[in-house]
Amino acid sequence: VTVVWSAEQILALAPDASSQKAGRGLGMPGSWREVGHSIDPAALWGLCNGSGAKPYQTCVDLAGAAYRCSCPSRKFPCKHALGLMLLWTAGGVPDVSPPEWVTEWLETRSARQEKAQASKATRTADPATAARRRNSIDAGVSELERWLIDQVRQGLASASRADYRHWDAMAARLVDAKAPGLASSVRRLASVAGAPERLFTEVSLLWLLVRGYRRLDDLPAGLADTVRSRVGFPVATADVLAGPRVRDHWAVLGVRDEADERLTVRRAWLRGRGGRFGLVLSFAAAGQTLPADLVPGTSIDASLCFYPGARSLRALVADRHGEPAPLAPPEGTSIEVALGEYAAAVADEPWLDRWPMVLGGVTPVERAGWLLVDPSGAAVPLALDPVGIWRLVAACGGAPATVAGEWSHTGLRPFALWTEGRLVRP
Amino acid sequence: MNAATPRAADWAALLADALVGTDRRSSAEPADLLDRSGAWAAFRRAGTRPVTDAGSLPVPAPPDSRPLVGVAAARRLELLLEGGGRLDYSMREAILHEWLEVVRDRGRRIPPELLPALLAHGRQHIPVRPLISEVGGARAHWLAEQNPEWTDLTSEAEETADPQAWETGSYAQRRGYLGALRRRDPAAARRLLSDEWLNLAPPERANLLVTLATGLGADDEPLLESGLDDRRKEVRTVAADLLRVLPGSAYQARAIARAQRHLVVAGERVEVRLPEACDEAMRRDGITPKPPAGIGERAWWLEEVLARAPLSAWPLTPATLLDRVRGDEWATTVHRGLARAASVHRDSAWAAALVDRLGGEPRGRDLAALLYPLLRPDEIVSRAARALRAGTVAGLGPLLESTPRPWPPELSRLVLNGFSDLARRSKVRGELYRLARLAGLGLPVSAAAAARELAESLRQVEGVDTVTLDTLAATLAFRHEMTQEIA
Repeated sequence: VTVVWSAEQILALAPDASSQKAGRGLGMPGSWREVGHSIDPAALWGLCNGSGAKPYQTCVDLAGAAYRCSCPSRKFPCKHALGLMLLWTAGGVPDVSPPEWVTEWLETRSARQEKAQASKATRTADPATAARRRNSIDAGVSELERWLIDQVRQGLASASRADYRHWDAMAARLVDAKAPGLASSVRRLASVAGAPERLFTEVSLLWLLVRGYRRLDDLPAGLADTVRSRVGFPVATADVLAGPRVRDHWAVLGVRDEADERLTVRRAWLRGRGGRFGLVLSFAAAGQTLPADLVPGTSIDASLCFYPGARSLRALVADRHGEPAPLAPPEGTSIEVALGEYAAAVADEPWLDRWPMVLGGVTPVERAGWLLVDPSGAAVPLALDPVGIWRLVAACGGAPATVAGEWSHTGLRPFALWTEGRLVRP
Repeated sequence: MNAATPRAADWAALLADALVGTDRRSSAEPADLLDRSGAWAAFRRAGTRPVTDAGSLPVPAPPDSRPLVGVAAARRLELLLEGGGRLDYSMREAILHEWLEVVRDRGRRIPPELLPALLAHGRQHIPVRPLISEVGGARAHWLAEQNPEWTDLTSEAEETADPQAWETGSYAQRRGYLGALRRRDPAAARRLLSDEWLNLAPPERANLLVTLATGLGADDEPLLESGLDDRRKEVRTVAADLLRVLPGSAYQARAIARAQRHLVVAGERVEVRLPEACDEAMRRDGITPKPPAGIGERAWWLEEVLARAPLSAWPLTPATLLDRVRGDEWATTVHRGLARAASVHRDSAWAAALVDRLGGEPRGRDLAALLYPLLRPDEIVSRAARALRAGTVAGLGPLLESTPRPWPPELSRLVLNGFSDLARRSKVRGELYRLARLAGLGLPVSAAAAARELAESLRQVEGVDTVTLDTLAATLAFRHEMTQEIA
C-alpha cells in the first residue's frame, strides 16, 4: 500500500520557489484529464492542458520518486508533476489500471536502474587512493599555514581591502589539494573581510584547525575526527552506517534549505526525547529534487547513525521503526541554559558555526535590531530578513512562544515556532 | 597553545598587532600570535552572553476567539497573495476579495503569520482594506501599530487626525487630514479651507476642494461659487461638479433656466432649440465650448446644457418626456445629455428610461455603461438575458460587470448556454474571452461542474476556442474548492 504524501512533503520536492507556486496552481481538478493512480506499480499519471494543442503526459513513479512529463521544462519534478501529486493528496485521483504509455515508461526505468546498481556494486575502495589523498592534503595544509602567517605578517588591514581573487586563489589551491573543507573556510574569510575583528576571529580559528591537523595523533579520538572532517576528508556513508545506532523518538523540529548557484543543501534538525540534537543533511544539484521524508511537526521512531566527531550533530537515518506521528509543541529552555550548552559544545568543538536551540517562552522585541527575550529578561538577536521577522512577530502577537532555530555568533535564525499549540515556519 | 586564562586586553592587543602586521611591529612572532588568538577566538565564542537591556515587553495583542481556517485554506491565501497558477493579477485580486468575504461570513480567522503579506497587499489596494481590517481583526490592528508602513491600513482611505499632517505633511497627507476633519466636523473643515484658500498653491486648491464632497451643504456654496472664477481649470471643474449636485444652489437654478430655454415643454409639445452660442455665463458654469471630435458645436452645447441641469427641471415623467422628443432630429443628443444628468444624480428611473436610447456607436455604449449600475438588479438580469438570446454580445460586458455577484440562477443558466453558442462564432472571440473572465468571477461556484462539462463537450467541435472555456472552468473550480475548504 502506498502512503499518500502530505501536501507539505510534495511542495518540499519542488526544485525552486517558482515551481512550487506553479505546482500549487496546477493542483486543481480543472487543469487535469484522465488522471489515475495505481498501487502496483505505484504510479500516478494524467493529462494536463498546456499552452500547446496536445496535452502534456505527466507520470510519477511513486516507489522511486521519479518523474516524467512531456512538457519542455528541464526541472525535476516539473510544475505538472507537482500539480498532479497535489491533486492526488487532495483525493482527486481515482485508482485505475495504468494506460500503456505509463507502463512503458515504468518498465524502461526499472531496467535502467538495475543496470546502474550492477555497475555501482563493482566499485571498491582503494587504499592507494587514500594514501595519495593524505599526501596531497598534507601539502595543502602546509601551504595554508604559510599563507596564514603571511596574512598576519603583512597585516589583516591590507587583506581586508583585497578583492575576491586574493581569497579565491588560495581556496582554489586547497580544492586542488583535495581539502574542500579548508577551501570553503578560506572562502568564508572573504565574506567577513570587511569586518576586521570578524576576519581576525575566523583567521585565528582556521589557524587552530591547521594546528589541530598537525597534531592529529595527539588529539582525543572524537576531536581528531572533527578535525579530519573540517579539513575535508570524506566520510563514507557505509562507515557511518556501520557505527552505533541511536534509537529514539526524534522530533523533526524544522527544515531549512540553503541554495547557491550549484547546490541546494537541506538541513533537517531533529531532537530526541533525551535532548540530543541531530542534523540530517541532503544535497541536490540546482533544479534537482531533495528528499522530503522528514516533515517538520512530526516525530519519528528511528535509529540514527552519527558522523564521527567531538560534538557530532550530523547524522543519517539508518532505520525507521514506524510511521511519523504528530509532534506536540516541544519543551524549550531559557536563553542562559541554551547559551551554556552552546559554550560547552564550543569547548569540545571550537569550529562549530551553527548550534540548535529550542527557547521557551520567548517574545520578539524591537530594540535597535530585533531580539528574542525570555521571561528572565535575557535576550538574543534574531538573524532573519524583514519578511521572516514580521511573520514571527505576527504569529506571536506579543505573547511568548517556543522558538527553535540555528544559533550562529550573529544571532538566532529560527526555523520553527510554536504558538497557541501550532507549528509556524518563519 | 599557551592561553589558559586569557585576559581581555590580550585580545585587543593581538587584534591590533594582526591588523597592522607583525612585520611592522616586531613585538610578536606571527605563529605565536595566531596560537594565542586561536585560543582566544574559541574562548570568546564560547563566552557569548545574552543581551540584557532588551527593554520592556510589548503589550500583547487582544485575543481573537474566532477559529482558524484550515491548512488548505491558508495555503490558498498564500497562493492568492504570492501569485502563481493560471490566474492573472486582476483575477487573483477579485478572488482574494471573495476569499476574505467568505472567511468573514463564516466567522473564521486567518493564521496570523500571513497578516504581514495581507497588510502589504492592502497598501496597494485601498478597496480591500476594510475587509482586511475586519478579517484580520485585533491581531491585524495590533500589528499595524508595530509597523509605521501599515498604520493607515486599517482605515479605508489615507485619512489622519494628526494636525501635524496638515502643518508639515505632503499634499496627500494634507488632503488626508482635511478629509478626516470634514467627516467629523464639516464646518471646521470648510473654515480651515477658506482661511487658507488664498495661500494655497494652485494645484493643491483643486485637490483639497474635492474633500467638500463629503457632507456637502448650503454653507459651502460661497466658497464653491468663488471657485468658478478661479484661474485654474481644475478648480473650476471641481467647483462646478459639486455645485451641480448641491440642491437649491444658484448654480442649479441657472442650469435649470438654461435647460428649459433649449428643451421647451409647451402644452403637449416638447421643442428642441439648439443654443446659438456658448456665452460667458455658460462657460463660467463649466460648459466646454469646444465639442469632442465628430459632434457638431451646437449639438454639443445642447448636450452640455441638459447634462448640467438637475432632472427636477422637467415637469414630466421620463417616459412622457422621451415620447414627446421621439422623432426629433436632435433626439439622441437630448437623450445623451439627460443620461449624463441621470448618472450624476444617480436617478434610476431616468436611467431605465434612457439606457436603450443612446445609440449603438461607442459613445452611446459608453454612456449606457454609466447607467447600468443604476438599474435594479432584476432589470440588469432581464437585459443581459435579452442580449444573450439575441446573440448581441456588444455591450454585454459592462452590463454583466454591473450585475451583483453571484449572478442569479436564471442569468447564470443563460450565460452558460450563451457560451456554447458564442464559442462556435469565431468573430466574437475577443468578446468571448472578456465575458468568460467576468463569468469566472460572477457565476456562482455551484456552476463549476456545468462549466467543466461545457468545456469538455466543446472540445471536439471544430474551431472552438477551448482555452477560454477551460480557463473559465478552472477559475470556477478554483473558487469552488476555495469556498469548500474554508470550513
